[in-house]
Amino acid sequence: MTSSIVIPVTIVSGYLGAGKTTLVNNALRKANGLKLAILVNEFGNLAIDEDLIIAQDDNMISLAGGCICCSYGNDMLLALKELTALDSKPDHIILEASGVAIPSAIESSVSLINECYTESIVSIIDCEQIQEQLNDKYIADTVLSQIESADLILANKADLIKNDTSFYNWKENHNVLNKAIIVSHSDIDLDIFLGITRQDLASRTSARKVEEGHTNKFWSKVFVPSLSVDPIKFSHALTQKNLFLVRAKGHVLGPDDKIYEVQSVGHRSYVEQTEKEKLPGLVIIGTKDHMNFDLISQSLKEFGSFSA
Amino acid sequence: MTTIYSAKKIITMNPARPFATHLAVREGKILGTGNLEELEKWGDYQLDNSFKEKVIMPGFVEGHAHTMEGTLWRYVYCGYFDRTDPDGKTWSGAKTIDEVIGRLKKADKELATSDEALSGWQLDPIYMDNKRLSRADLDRVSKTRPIGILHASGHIMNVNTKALELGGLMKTGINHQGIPLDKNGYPTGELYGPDAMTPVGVHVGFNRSLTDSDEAGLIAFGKLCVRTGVTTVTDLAARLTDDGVDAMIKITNKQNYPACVVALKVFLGATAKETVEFVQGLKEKSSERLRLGRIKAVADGSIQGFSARMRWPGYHNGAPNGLWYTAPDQLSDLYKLALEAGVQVHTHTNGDEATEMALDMLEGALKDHASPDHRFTLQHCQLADAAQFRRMKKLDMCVNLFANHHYYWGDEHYRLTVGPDRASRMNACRTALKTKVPMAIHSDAPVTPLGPLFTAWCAVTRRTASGRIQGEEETVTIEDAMHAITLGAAYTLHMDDEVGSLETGKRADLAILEEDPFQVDPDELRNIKVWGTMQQGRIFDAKLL
Repeated sequence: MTSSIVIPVTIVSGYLGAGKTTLVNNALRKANGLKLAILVNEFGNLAIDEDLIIAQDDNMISLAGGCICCSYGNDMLLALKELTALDSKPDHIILEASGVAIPSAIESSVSLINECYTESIVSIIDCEQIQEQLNDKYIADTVLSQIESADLILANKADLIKNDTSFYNWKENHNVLNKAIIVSHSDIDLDIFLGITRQDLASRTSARKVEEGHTNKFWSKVFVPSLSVDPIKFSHALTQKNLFLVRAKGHVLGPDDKIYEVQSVGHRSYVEQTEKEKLPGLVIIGTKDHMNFDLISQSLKEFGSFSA
Repeated sequence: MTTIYSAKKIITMNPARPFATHLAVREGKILGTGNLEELEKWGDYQLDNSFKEKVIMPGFVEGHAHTMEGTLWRYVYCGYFDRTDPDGKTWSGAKTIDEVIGRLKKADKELATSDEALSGWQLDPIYMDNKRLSRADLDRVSKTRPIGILHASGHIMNVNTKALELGGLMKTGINHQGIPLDKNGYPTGELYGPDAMTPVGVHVGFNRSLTDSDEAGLIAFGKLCVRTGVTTVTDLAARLTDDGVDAMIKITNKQNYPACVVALKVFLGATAKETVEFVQGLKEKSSERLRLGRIKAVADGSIQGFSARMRWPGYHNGAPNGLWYTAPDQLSDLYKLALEAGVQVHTHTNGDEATEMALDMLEGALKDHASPDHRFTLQHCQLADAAQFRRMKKLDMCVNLFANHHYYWGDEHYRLTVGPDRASRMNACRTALKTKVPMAIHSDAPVTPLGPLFTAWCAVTRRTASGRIQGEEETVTIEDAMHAITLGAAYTLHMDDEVGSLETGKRADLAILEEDPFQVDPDELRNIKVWGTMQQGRIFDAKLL
C-alpha cells in the first residue's frame, strides 16, 4: 500500500423510506469542518436539503463546508474511484445504498478500491414498518440481510410509535435488532454514526462551537488497557455480541512495545500500528439500554479496566 | 409516385387480405396489396419486378434487443456458435479454448502498439465442458497489453495479468464473491458481476457505457437489421444520455438508415418522477425512424447468474434467492406515475417471483390509475406459470418471451438452475397464446444473435443447443411465431397501427425473403435466407451494404 491517504467509507443501508436521506443531511449539518463526500444512488427531489447546496451540476452538488454529493447511477465503483482521486480529498465518504442493495455486497466492492475502506455498515430501519417488512413476501429477505450485515442499526422514527411496548418487547427479543439504537428523525451524533470524535472535529475548526455531551441514550467511558495487550485479541473482545458496545477507539501498547490503534464498531474491528506517540487508553461507547458493566468489565478484564 | 412491386408471394399478416402477388408503395407507405389489376386503379405507377422470385413479409419487429451489438463487432468474436457480423462475414464458432486463444493471437499481431488493449466478446464456457479460461491462458496471447473477454451473458469477463495490474487487482488479499482466487491467492482472471468487472473493464474497452451504442455502432447495427429482415428494432435499456440521444437522432435521420429504432430509457439511478418526466420530454425528439418516450424497468437479475428472484422452491441446485434490482415500492411508484402520464413501461422479469411482484405492483397501480390500453409489457418473463399468464391477461398486459434463450441455455436450466419441470415450461409461448396474452418473442441481441426467423424457429421447435426438444407442449405453430415477430411485437410497442402487417396506410416496411416461411419444414425456418429489406419504401439489399 502506498502512503496516500485511505479514506473511510460508511455504507448507509436501509429499505425505502427508512430515513437514509435524512440521516445523510443531518450528518452534513453536523460536519463542522469535516469534509464529507456523499454518494447517492440518485438525486431525488429530496436528496439534499436545499439550504445546504452551494452549486449543482448533473452529477455533483457542492455543499457548504467543502462537502460534496455525487450521484452514482449505475456505476458506484467508478463514482467512488473518482471521489478518491479528487484533488481535495474528502475526509470521509458516506455511501447511501439503494433501498434493495445488499450492503455486504457493496462492502466487498468497496474493497476493490485501494484508496478507501469500509469503516462501517450502518443500517436504518423504520420502527413503524419494520415488522411488516420482515414479513413481506418480496422484501423480507432483503431487509433481513441489510440489518444482519450492519455494524450499527438505527431504529428510526421512534417518535411515531411512542411508547408501544409491544414493539420494544419484540425488538429486544429479536436476535439482530436487539442491538438497534432507537432514534427519531434520523438524529444521531457523528461520533456514533461515523466514529468521528469530538476532538477530531474540534481540531478541524475552532470557529464553530462543538456541541458538548451525548444525548442521554449513550454511556461513554475511558478504558485503561494493561501494559502489554494483544491488540487483535482485544479488538475481537470488543465486538462480542452480548456486550452491546456501540463503538470503541483508542490505543494500546502491544507485546512488542509498539503502539497500536484499536477501533471497533458493531462486529467490525481494526488494528493498526502507529508511529505516533499515544498514551494507551480507549473511549468505549455503549447504549444505556444495554448497560451491563459487570459483564463488560468481566469480559474485558484480561485487557485492562475502566478508569474510575 | 407509386411503385408496384411484384413478388412470388406476399404474406401480409393482414387477415382480411392474407396473400397477394403485388404491393403498391407511395410516399414510403403501403397504398395497397392485391393483384396488379386491382392496384393499377390507383393511377400512374412504375412496375418493379426485382422481387418477383422473392417472398415478401412485413418487416420484422424485434421487441427486445440492444443496439450495442453494433459496437461489439469491433472486438474479437469468441462465441461458440457461428455468427454473422454487420458486414456479412460469418465467423465460425470457436469450439475450444485453444481456438479462442488462436483467434486472439491473430488479432494481437494486427494491433499497432504493444500496450493497446485487446478485447473479445461472447465467450461461453458452458459449451466447452465449463472449462474456465485463466489469466495464464490469456497471458499466452500477450503479457504487455491488457486483454478482456466478455462472456455471452454480459455478466462475466476474463482478463489477463496485465489487465488485472492496470485495474489494481493483481494482488493477494482480495475478498470478493465475484473474484475467484488461485492457489497463490491472486485473482484467476475471471471476474463476475459489474462491480468486479468495472475496475478492470475500463482498461479493456468495456465500461458501463458499454450499453450505449455510438454512431459507428448504430450504423453497424442497422446493417444487421437488414441482414435479418428487421425494420423496427428496440434499444431496450438505453441510458439515453444527451450524447447518446444526439447520436441516435443524427444516425437515424440519415437518408440511408435502414431501421426505425425504438429506444427505451432504463429506470436506474433516477427517481420514478424524474424518469417519467425525462421520457415525456424526450418524446418530442421522436422522428419517423427514432421513437422515444418509453421506459424499461428491471425487476431482478438473470436465471443462469442465479440473480433472478425465484418463488418456492427456488433454484434447483439450492443457490440462494437472487436480487431485486428495483424495489417493489419503486416499481409501484413508477407504474402509477407512468400510467398517469400515459407513458409505457416494459419490465424485465426473469424469475417467477419477479413476475409475481410486477403483477402485484401493476394491479395495485391500476386500481388508482385505470388506464385503458396501457400495454405494459413483461420482458423475458421466462418462468411465468399459467396462473401468472392469466393475471397478465386480466391486467391487459403484454409479454415478450425469450425464445432464443431456451435454445442457448435450456439444457443448463434443465440440468442445473431450475430443473426439469420449470425448464420445460420456460418461455411458455403456447400458454401465453392460449391465455390470449398479446405476445412477442425476442433475441435480446447481443446476448443471442439478432434474427427473428431464428427466434421463430426456437419457439416453433423448442430445440435446445444439444438437440433435445424441451417442453414440446409449449411449441407454437409457424403462423403464431410469424405473428409474434411482426404484429405481435409491434403491438407491444403500440406500433401495430404503423407496422407489423402490410395494409393500406401502414409503413412500407418489408422483409424480403428467398423462401416462404409458411411452406418450409419447420426445422428449416432458421435457414431461410433474407435478401434484404424495404424500410419506408427504401430498398436495402443485404449484399450491397
